[in-house]
Amino acid sequence: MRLILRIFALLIIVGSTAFWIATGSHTGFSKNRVEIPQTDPITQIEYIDYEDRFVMGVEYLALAYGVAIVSFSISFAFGRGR
Amino acid sequence: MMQTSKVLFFASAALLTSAFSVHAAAKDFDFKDPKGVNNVSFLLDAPLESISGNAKGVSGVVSFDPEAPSTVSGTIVIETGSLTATNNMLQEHMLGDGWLDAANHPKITFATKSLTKVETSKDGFTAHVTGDFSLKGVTKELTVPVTFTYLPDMLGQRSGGSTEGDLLVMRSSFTINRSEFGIKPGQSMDKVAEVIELRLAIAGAAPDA
Repeated sequence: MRLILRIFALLIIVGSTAFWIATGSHTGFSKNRVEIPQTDPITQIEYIDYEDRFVMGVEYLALAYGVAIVSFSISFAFGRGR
Repeated sequence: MMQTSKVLFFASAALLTSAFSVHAAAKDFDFKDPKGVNNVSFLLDAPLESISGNAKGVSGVVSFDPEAPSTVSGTIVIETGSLTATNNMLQEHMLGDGWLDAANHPKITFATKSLTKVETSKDGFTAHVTGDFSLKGVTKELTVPVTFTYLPDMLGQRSGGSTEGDLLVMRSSFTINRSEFGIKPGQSMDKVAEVIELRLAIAGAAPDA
């Protein structure tokens, strides 16, 4: 059980970090849509179009790290397997 | 004597015609934009959270005379419900009754009253526009810097040739304080900034008659 909890903690950290990097390493809160800057060729007005896409924010990363720390801490409550 | 009367008559007629033609040169530019380009972006930069987004539900009519730009007048309307943020939960809170209350206050408006500091530039002019700004049921007089760019005969290019006419582009950046418009004054200051930065870039069309 001790080993399982530690492996679980490691997987959580690696998985969440990989997903955070894969969705753009966004340092703010999560987004449900992403801004795509555009410029109107006639008026030169700059505007934003949105693309519906999830971008993981730091709040989910912090939550995942918290779960990993808790899992790792609980693992100390179990003795070494023989 | 008869000759003098004729000259006076034609001179008067010419004066009246020219006066009427100057008056007739004022055109109404419609800012409802089917292309979805017209937008007002907003930014609230608080210590703990930066909130940004934009609104594309722009409409309104501005009367503009290229020969007398200082006479520009009109109203710009933004649909409160068109304000978009990058996070669904944030957007729901922003439009909810605690904050902007979009259901009961569906429009944000700016109605011009006067222009000052009018200066001509290459494609148009800049001016300080004073008008009534209404948000969440509160109306306050604001003076904001506006850049006007007049693009004669450019509507055809923008509409793919279907409609000929002129374009008027207006750009402005200014700030408002949310507490002055009854948007949770003094609350959540660490996450929702007191100062709202607004940046407006819109184009109106005046089709040829």
